[in-house]
Amino acid sequence: MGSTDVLRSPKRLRWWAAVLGVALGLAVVGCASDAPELGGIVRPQPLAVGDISLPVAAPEAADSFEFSADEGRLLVVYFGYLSCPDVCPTTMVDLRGALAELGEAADTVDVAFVTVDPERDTPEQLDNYLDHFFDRYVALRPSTVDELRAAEEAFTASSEITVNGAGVVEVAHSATTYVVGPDGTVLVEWAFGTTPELMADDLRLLLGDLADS
Amino acid sequence: MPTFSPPRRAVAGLAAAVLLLASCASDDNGDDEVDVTDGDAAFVVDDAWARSTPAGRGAVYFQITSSDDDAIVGASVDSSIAAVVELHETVAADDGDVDPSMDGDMDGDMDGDTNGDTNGDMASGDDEGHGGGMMEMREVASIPLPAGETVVLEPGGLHVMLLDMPEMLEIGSVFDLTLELETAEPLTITVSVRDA
Ligand SMILES: [Cu+2]
Repeated sequence: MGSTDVLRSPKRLRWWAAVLGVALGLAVVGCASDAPELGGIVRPQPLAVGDISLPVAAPEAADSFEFSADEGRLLVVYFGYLSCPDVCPTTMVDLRGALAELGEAADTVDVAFVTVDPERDTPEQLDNYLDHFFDRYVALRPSTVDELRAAEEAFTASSEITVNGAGVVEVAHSATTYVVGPDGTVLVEWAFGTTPELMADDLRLLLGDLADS
Repeated sequence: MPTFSPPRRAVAGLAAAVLLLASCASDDNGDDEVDVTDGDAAFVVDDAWARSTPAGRGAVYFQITSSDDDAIVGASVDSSIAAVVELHETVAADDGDVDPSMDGDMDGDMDGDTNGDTNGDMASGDDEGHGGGMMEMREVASIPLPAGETVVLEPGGLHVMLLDMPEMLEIGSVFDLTLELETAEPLTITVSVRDA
């Protein structure tokens, strides 16, 4: 009984009101994200990747694809491999979710998937894989290790393929997603686990910047 | 004095706010919670799902709580699903023993966090940059299930790995996964296949 009185005292009321206010505030911050700045990682010195190119394996083979977006567009780049059942499809699904959330604006976003396991990932498999996630995509398949390393270096990505004692091929790779602008620089990077909502917000913001400039 | 009781409302409001938070936390968690009593031990398995890739591999995720101390020491599925099943963990390749899924954060990192920097091992912020950090999958001998603790298998962390899959899993279908436990009898759970 005594405790009930305490609970209902004006002081307590103010305390509960404060708790409620904070909780509601958190809830709003947690769901919306109307912050005008990019949610992903932005480097003070943007990575320049526009001079790098790789052969295209799918949907149609081509000699080279340069890492810069077309005018007024954005290019999303991911380094992965097909027999990756955990990290890679998770990011692909998140990215697909982000594009779905963008709606029509997604038409101005291109997706490039670079296989870090070109020996095992055939053009057909790459095509089949990406078709599963995206309407439009390019699959890039380095023809030499040097070519792969040059691309990775430009993005500060990395990968390593080893064969363990049991003869099983193991692939380690960085799982960052990069957004490249028409100027051939990386505008924002998303670490593994970045939500589709955050990706969509960043893409929207960057597309707005492109339209303004 | 009226019997109007603001604190209670405040509590209700707080609860609503918390629910609101929770509701934006996750996209597609089914509420397919399953309670299983297995001899003396009781297990709660929640949200068991899988996806596969065209390359003949897949991963299964779920949350599991055991009433008693136990451990998952193996897993199996029908050979029409996968010829080989292993317990795996995705870890930061350059940071040996990091266990991203077991270090607290049971609600996962897919919630409404608007700060990309907190989302993983990539964002270490050293001059190498976040791209320098690699992730790789490792086989683990067992997945410990401390009594009463919810252990989360989720993308980027612990998973049951399906290898040598004869075909891609059909989205919307279900299959049985049998977990071999250190102490309790084997536990069979139903896994639903999600788009991926
Ligand atoms: Cu695995």
